Amino acid sequence: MKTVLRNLLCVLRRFKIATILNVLGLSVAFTAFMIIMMQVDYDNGYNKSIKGGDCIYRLTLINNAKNQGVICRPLSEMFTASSPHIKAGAIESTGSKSFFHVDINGRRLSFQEQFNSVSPDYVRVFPFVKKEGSVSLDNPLVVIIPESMEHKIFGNKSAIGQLLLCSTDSISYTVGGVYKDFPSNSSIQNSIYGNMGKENEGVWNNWNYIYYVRFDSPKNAALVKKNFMKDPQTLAAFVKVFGQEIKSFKDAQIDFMITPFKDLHFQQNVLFDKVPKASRQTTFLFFGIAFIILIIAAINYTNFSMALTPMRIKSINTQKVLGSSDAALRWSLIFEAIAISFLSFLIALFFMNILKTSFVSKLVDPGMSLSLHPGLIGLTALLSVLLGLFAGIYPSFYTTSFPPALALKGSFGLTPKGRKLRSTLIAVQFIASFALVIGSLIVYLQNYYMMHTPLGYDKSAIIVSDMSVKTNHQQKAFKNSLKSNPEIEGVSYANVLLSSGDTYMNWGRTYHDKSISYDCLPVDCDFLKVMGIKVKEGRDFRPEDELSAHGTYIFNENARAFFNLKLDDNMDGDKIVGFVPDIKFASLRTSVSPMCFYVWGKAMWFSDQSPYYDNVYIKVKKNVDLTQAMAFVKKTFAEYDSDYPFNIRFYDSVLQNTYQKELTLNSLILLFSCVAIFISIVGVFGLVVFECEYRRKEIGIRKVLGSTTSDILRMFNLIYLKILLISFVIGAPLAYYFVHKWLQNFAYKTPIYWWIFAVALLLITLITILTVTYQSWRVANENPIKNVKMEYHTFI
Amino acid sequence: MIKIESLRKVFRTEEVETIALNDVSMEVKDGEFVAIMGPSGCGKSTLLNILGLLDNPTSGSYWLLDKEVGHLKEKQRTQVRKGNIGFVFQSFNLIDELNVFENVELPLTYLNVKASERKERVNAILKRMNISHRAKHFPQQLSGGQQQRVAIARAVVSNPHIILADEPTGNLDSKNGAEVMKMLTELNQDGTTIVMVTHSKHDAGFAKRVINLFDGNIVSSVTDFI
Repeated sequence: MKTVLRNLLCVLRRFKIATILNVLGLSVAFTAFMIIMMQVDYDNGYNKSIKGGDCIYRLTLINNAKNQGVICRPLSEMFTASSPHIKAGAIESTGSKSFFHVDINGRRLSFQEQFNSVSPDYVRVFPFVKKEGSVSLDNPLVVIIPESMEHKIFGNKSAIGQLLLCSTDSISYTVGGVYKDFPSNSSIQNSIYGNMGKENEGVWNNWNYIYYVRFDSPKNAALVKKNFMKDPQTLAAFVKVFGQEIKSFKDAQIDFMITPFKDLHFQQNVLFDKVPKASRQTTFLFFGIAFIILIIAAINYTNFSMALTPMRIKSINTQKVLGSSDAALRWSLIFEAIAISFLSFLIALFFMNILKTSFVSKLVDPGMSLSLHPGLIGLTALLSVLLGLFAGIYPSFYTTSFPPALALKGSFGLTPKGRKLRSTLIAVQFIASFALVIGSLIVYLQNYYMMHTPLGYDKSAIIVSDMSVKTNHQQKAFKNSLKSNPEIEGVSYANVLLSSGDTYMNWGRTYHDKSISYDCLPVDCDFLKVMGIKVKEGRDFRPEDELSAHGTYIFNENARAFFNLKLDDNMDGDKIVGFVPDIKFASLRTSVSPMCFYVWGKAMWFSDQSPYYDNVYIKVKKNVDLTQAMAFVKKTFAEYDSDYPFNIRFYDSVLQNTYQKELTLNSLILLFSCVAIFISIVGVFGLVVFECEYRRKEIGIRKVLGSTTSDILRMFNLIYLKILLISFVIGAPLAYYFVHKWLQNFAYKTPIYWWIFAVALLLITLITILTVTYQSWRVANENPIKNVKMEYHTFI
Repeated sequence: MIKIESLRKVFRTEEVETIALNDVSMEVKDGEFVAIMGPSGCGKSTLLNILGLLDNPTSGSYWLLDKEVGHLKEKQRTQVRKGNIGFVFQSFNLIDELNVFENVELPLTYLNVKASERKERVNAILKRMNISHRAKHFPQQLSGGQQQRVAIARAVVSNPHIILADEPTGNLDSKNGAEVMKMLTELNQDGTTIVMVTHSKHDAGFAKRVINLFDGNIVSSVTDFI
């Protein structure tokens, strides 16, 4: 054993660079594996760690095959009361960030925090764990906050009894309880929860609430839903609200869906769904990449072990001659392989520790703290042992299979069988590299396409910001102050940010006795001018529209065609004054659907105040210094409200945010493609080192016989280029299949250009040639006399 | 054919300077069969390396085919060596990954000879060496004598002017050794110049002239050695 280890150390010393690179490759692979699996673990475990979570469901309504994630309050109360199997039901308003003041030790501090307005039974549906105080929402003026927020706002002081003054509605809330934070991978937000009071009680027309229900057992969920739909009272309620034309739910194409809480993270195609989403496809993709990287590293390591074999045969067989058993030798070789693999795993842990404070940790949702993933560390440790075992088994059997006398006689070159196996393994690595490079390029092109495709409006030189209560109360004056600067071309208010997401406020109306629904984007009269949206037919909004009693519509072409809308028609008193082309107001993941821009009339249907706008758009003139313009805008905001932390930014960042998931995916795939290529090239590098060593004499003979350095380099490169081409022929169609499938997630997609494949081939070919040439150059250039055995080599 | 004058070869390491060849001068005429003999460490292999353009002398001159080649760069030496000099080594030095045909073909490949002509010439030489029935076999599948015949075939396939043989029978039994010496003699009779390094007086007996080296100096040059 000692001799075997000593011999290994000699060989490893002799091939320092190749050894270091191979161990490094393995460590990088383990690191990449752990990072990816953290994300996979996070997504797969979403909502699964909630106690009793298997009994919690969300109810949504399916209307004309569209699954809508929000219902009205009366419907939720009806469902909750429908069965003794329902332990609790609660609704949640689609929450937003609110601005709070807190007085601490005589100082007024301001915070912007998420405030979720819920019904009182919310704390009975979800398992809030009390840290202090009372986790109760019975009093509308008493709120509960998470432990992390208590620490953030109040430090070590208790939050119980503290007052939070909300500047949005000027209400003072008392902190009645502090609850322990929910895990980051759950859709229950760690936010301020407050009782919504009597908001929209009995109002069937306001469908803005997410409804959760806790059953006594998951087995009863489907039955309760079925019975609810069969109940004549349910249908009667719908008929009362929506009219006699609803004869049955089936005829009206209405259904309900109850979705287990743990499945919400992956549930797709639900309108107005606020639950953070992951795609099962993407998770599967990451899982696949993690294992591909591990396999590539394992192949490297196996090749490395096998390449070492001929150099070790002599010493190993000497041991045999001296009396060691085959089994003992094999076990010692396997043990070495396991030890090296485990050492690489330990180095990987070190890398993880360094990377957790780097940009890489921002690419993964859960962050990279190892202490949060003890199971994953254990799994990777086990995989490292198994990898060492499998990488070591074949070489150990091969090395000990030679008759000792034969092995002691002479040196062993590279056998054709071993060569073939190594070539096959390298081919697998190249196939994976091609697939990853092509995948990266497609993801990059799709992102580029999404960020640069004309959207139908002018998003250049636009500054956007959220609005506060103070700026809303002085809308006119605020607008005029901004416009007083000659560098500002136009200012407009709106309730939404165009292209900031896939779901907007949706309205249902009756038009010529037909029920229609469309996305509605409330704006002021200057919006279309500021955004450069030309009216195709009819007219633009006018200032008079804001003074008229009823609202004013401008629809898109899609709505006009779908609902056969006519100019100057009325819907509930609101007038249709124009039509615009189909702009891409949602993300490119979805196709254009019916939508409208809407200017509120004076008689707002729920309030007689001026409309409250959440956002302001500020168009800067061409050729103006944008930095200067931004400085002016910020100064103006501060003049009107110095307390509020406005989020003032250029419009590009909105798009950046919309496609953040895709951009992050791009970064991750690119990163791990580089990792996979790096590991593959390390493998090639290591093998070229060994090949050069074994074939030194052959190279010398060839040079004696007339070969030039170029001939030798060409010979080495051709070996690997042949493997590369075969790998490309297999890898390219595989890659095409997967990217084509991934692109189906987008309504608007980039073409799959032929040159993507050419670039991938060229890139990997170039890297391979550089690697092989660099490594074999020295040996190819050597004086052949050094390597060819003449009778006496005394002086050489 | 070959002319060396005042050839010196000095090997320098950090601690020691060794004079392997000390002002050696000699000539080998076209068609001669010359044996170089001497004890271990006398400089025989060094001399052969220089003659084979595998190494440069420290000083002195070396004319090959009336051209001064003593101080050429590696690239130039390769160009001169190709097609002009054939090598036969003691340990055969065949390439294990190539079969007999491919081993013999190799010098012609580096001379950019067309594939059809290569095939013709290789087959002819294998037939002459009585080894054509093993053309598809690999060196590991051949006996020592057969391997040396393949090596000789490789050395002569490009019709070189000179063959340099370094202990060609050193790894062979007497029967195979005799066969190899017979082949070299036949080649010489056909006009190929042969310079052979050997320890064996028996083998040296096949040469027309024997040059004795001692401590880097030529001590004698005997014609028709008995």
